[in-house]
Amino acid sequence: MATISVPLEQLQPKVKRPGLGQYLRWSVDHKIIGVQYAVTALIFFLIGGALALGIRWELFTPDLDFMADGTAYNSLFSIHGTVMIFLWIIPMFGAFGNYLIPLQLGAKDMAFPWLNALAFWLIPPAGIFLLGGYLVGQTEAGWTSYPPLSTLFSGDGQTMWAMSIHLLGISSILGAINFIVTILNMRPEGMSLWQMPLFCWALLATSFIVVMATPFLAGALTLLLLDRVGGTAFFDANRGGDVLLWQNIFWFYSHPAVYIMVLPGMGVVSEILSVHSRKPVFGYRMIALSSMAIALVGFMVWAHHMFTSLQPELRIPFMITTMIIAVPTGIKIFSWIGTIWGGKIRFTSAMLFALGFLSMFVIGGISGVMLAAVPFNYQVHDTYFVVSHFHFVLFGGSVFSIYAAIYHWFPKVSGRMLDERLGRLHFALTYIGFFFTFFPMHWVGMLGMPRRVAVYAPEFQSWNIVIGIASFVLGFSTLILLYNMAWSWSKGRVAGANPWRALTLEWATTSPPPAWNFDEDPVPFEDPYGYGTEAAQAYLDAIDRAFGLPDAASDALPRTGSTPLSPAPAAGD
Amino acid sequence: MQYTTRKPLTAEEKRERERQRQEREAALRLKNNKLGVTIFQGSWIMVFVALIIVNWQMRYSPEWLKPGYSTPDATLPSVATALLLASAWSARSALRAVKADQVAQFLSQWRTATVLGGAFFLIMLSQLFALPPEAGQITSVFRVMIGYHAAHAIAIAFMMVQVMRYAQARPKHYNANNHWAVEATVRLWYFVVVAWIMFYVVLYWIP
Repeated sequence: MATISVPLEQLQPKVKRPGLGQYLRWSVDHKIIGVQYAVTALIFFLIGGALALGIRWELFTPDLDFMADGTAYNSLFSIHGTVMIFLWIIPMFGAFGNYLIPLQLGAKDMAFPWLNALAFWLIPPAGIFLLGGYLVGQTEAGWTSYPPLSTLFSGDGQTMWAMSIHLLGISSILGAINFIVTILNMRPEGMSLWQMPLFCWALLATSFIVVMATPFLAGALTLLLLDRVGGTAFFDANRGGDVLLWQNIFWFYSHPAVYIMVLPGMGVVSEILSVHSRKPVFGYRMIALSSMAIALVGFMVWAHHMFTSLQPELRIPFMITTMIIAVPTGIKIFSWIGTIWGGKIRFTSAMLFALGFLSMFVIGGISGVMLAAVPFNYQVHDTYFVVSHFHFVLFGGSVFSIYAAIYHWFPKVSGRMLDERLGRLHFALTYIGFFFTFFPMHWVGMLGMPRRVAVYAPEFQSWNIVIGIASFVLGFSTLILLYNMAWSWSKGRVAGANPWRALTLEWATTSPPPAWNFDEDPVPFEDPYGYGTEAAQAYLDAIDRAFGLPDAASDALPRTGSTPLSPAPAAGD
Repeated sequence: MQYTTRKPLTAEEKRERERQRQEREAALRLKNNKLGVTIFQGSWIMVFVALIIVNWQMRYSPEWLKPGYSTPDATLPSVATALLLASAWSARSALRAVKADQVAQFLSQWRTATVLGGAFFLIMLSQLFALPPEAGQITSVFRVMIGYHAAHAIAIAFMMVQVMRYAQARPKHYNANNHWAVEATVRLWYFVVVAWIMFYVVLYWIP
């Protein structure tokens, strides 16, 4: 007979949420650190988003009118890109990783709590450096910082940019070491690697990429800083340096970094699609292994960013490896569709964003395969087609999955449900705003509108007006989410322990969890996605009785007749 | 399948369970520490690999080595390499000694390892000036690689000195049951050795 390690007939006491002060100081509690990551990332998201709207405002007309000059525009998109990648998406997935991984593994904390706190506290100074660099000025080389733009044609802001990214890289590596050790060493009895939640698999693959690739960026940044302040000429062709040296090392990190930003989102989507369609994951092992395959093949494709500057004999091999990476990605898409196929789908906000991820990411993936073809890449190189492609991957993929994760796990963090009506409105405006911001960029890109230029040919203006209006809709939609989070934090309906009736272990404790997570070592269910069985029903009912039910009027999944502390209901969820 | 509550525990059972929990957690901490350091080593060695790639790509520069200059002589670095290897061997012996509770032997071997490591560091500092800036791009690459390695060597050497100071101040502090600080320092010193051997071959033996 399996046991669950709580007295079933006694409802566990509610846990008080940590006070504001605890979130503002050094803490080694992974849950506090997770929230610190999330709030910090959201602040930077707002800053990056405001900068994006500045870009779109400038592009309403073909002339340079909003910005003082081209330099100001260069700084604007450089800081926008850097903030969104290094201070929003990557730390935000760090937030979910920190909060969820110990809970999903039934552990009390991460393997190295102190190191975990250090990894977070490197981020605020890095952000200050970066934004300080923006104020100092002349951070003009884009988030890619290609020399000689970043060496000969940028100011002190570029130096601060490099220092900032250095700090963020160290933070990422420390975080990734923590994730790997926690996942490999701290799983509970009864949870083999093949019974681990798919979010943990995704974070494991991501962390392997971080620890192997980020040091390359550290090396490149060291050389860049030496060129800027040390008098060396690694990247100065006039003095025997080589600008392609930067591109090779930078992209050896930065292409895998795309998967650092996408793989955790894939893990999120795997969780949500299964829970909200009440069906086991289709092809669990294939999803898990395809994450590792993406991590591996991701190291063999970097030069597709350099087709126009690469030796001709290397183009075809990199074209082939780039196309190969679509295979494990396709396996995931196929498995996700198989998961929801025939399921009892509940169109919650989390599910809507997960489905939004599915549709948008596929578009980004297809345009990625198009860009992998060398002749096509030549045509659209450095045009808005590329801007469209990576926004479909990083917004349509990463940000949609972050939104889905917020709706799914906010109840666990806060103990309260997000408002579903606001959530659906947020989804509708995001979906429409996002699509009409970025899809038309395919066309203007193919027609030849170059990226990173404030002045463009007048024939592109009509599409840029459409894009600009849609971008402001997208920006407004974010405010709805923030309002929803702020309102629901104090006034949302009580979530109970397990509002979605999910089988992974983070739901087998109170919402929010106590500082020690679990009173005793929890017993994981035999299959984290084994919905639809009597055993699963019994396990979920036990959690309800031990840790508390949601408000009857909340948007949580229905209980099929169960009431607080009542005997177990009949099976057939 | 049913899910039931467990029987309440007696006070004796609770104490026993707490003792087992503490033992389990101590073992887990050590296991985590070992894996964490291993992953860190595997990760951070990639910076050194990146610098080797820089070295390789910069060799194609027309200004790699200007006429009239030659690559640095390998004699002194070879001596330094031998000292480093001896230092690592000595550190390894010290670790084995502390694991066997031979505290006096541990301390003496550890002192030897630290002194040999210091000698390696001083010799390699002199190598920073083995090439003049006018020699070409080789000088920048050479100095970055030597300097980067030296920065890591001095950081780990500092840890060795700290372990030595602790061991001298409290002779029984490190013993068969408590030697993780020693083991971690030795593992990181191995890292310094592996990184240096890679650089040594690239800098002095590949023309």
